[in-house]
Amino acid sequence: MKVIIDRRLTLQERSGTILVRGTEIWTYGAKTSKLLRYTRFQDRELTLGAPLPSISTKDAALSWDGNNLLVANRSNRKVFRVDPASGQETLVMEPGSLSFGDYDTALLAVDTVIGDIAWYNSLFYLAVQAGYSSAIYGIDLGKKRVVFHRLAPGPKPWGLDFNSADGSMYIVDNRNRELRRFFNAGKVDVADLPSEWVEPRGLSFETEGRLWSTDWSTGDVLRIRVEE
Amino acid sequence: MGQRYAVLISGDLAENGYPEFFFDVVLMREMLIGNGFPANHIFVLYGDGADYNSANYPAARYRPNPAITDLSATMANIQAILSDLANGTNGRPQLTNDDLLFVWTFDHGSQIPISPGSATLISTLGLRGGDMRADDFATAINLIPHAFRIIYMQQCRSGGFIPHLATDRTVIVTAAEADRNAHPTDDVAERETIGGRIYPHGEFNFYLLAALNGQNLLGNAANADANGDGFTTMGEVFDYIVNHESDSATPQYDDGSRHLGERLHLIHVANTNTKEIHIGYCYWVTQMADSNKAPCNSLEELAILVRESGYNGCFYCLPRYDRDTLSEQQVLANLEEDLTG
Repeated sequence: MKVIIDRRLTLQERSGTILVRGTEIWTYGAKTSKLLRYTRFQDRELTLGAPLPSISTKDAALSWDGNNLLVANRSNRKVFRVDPASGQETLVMEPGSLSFGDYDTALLAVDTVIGDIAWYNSLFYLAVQAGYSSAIYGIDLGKKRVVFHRLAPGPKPWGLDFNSADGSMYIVDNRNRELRRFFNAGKVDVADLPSEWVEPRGLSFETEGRLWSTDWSTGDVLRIRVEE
Repeated sequence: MGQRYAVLISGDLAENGYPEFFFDVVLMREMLIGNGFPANHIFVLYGDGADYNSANYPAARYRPNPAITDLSATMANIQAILSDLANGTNGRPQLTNDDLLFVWTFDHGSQIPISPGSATLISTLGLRGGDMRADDFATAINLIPHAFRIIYMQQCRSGGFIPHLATDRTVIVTAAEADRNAHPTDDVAERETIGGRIYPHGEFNFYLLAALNGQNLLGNAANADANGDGFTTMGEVFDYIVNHESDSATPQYDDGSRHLGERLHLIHVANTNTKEIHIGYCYWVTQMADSNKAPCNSLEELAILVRESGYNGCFYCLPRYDRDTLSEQQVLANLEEDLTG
């Protein structure tokens, strides 16, 4: 597996998260705490689209559950479902109310932070940065129960998403500077990140083999092609 | 009397995104040998039972030759080797009530319900094939006879092991509280770079090694001997770690009701009057006048004293270097063997 950057576009405001929806890119402004919608990412420059509602969450990570926006507060690990039209927010997860079963409780530790979030197959996923307990959690939001846990491939998982075509999970770790792909059958692929992708933040699929992320060091968004 | 043994356990594979799981095993073993532990008294349980070897990290320092891993880091192997050291089975030595046992653990660590559905949690050590609970770990390790134990734990939530392991003859230091995570090195001042590649380490391990080696991995001097008496005690090691690391977790410490950590250290003590060298916790050190004590900070220093200054190993605690019972030739051969690991 090899990672190639095939497009780099400049955001109006630096973002540590990214959500690709159709032909739009949604980001979260690090300074203004505002959601921003960009259109026409096939062009050389991004264009700001219709405004998105304000959200109360600071330092947010974004995902989409098929109908609504999911917004996670990285530091307190609370997650809200946000109606993209009205902006109505509903608290759907807080770590203290989860049932962990026999899974590790690193998500409860006060020094744990969320790197990225994703939605796949009706489950909510979090990539958490928790030192040597860094992990990917899968959560049934309806039952408030942890149903999946695997250790992260490094202490700084900053990007997480799933390929809906085959269910494979993609994780970017910023310390190890790697993209790893995990298949359900256990196969794992690893690719080094290109040096020009300095500080990865967020991961979101456009189509199979094509993902987007951000580079915190430059404030750009990057389109990444994964070649076999 | 007075042999020193170590068990080093690192439960996950370096390939899984944490190369320090092997790097720190190498460094811990190196530190122990430098402090006079015979190489054949150090037992390494790492990953799947073979040293880590990656083209991404080619530094010779982290490719020990011969290989150092004895066994894979599974719960069954930990129980087996601890049982062997308790009973002297499978060709392994049997520890006695005069010996020092040094144990170091590293991997992921977690907390799980102590019984299904319970709100009470117990800390665990991550291992290949499943985690080991603190109570199970204590059951296995408590079988081993010892004069003293030194236990260092780098994994997350390791503070939860203390209630299970603490005794008046144990110094235990953990990287984190029972409900906190432990972290890798993160500051520029902790960045070991070889050939342009950064070699990560556990933050707790980084400062533990610095305190016990007298310098950190970047070659900068580290003086953990706070009272300047020449002997870095386990209590001083703990203070050094706490005062230097920047982890969001706080290291935890227990040395029993008699504060063993204020006296216990790894450094050899040379008696400048009798010209005998002792392990730091040897009974005869307690009988020595302070004015006659001189620290001997490494096996290399000890070798120089024996080879060039006529010093002798204590009959009780350093019998391998005792010319009163062994020939000169045998003592020198033992020294050479221990120096080359």
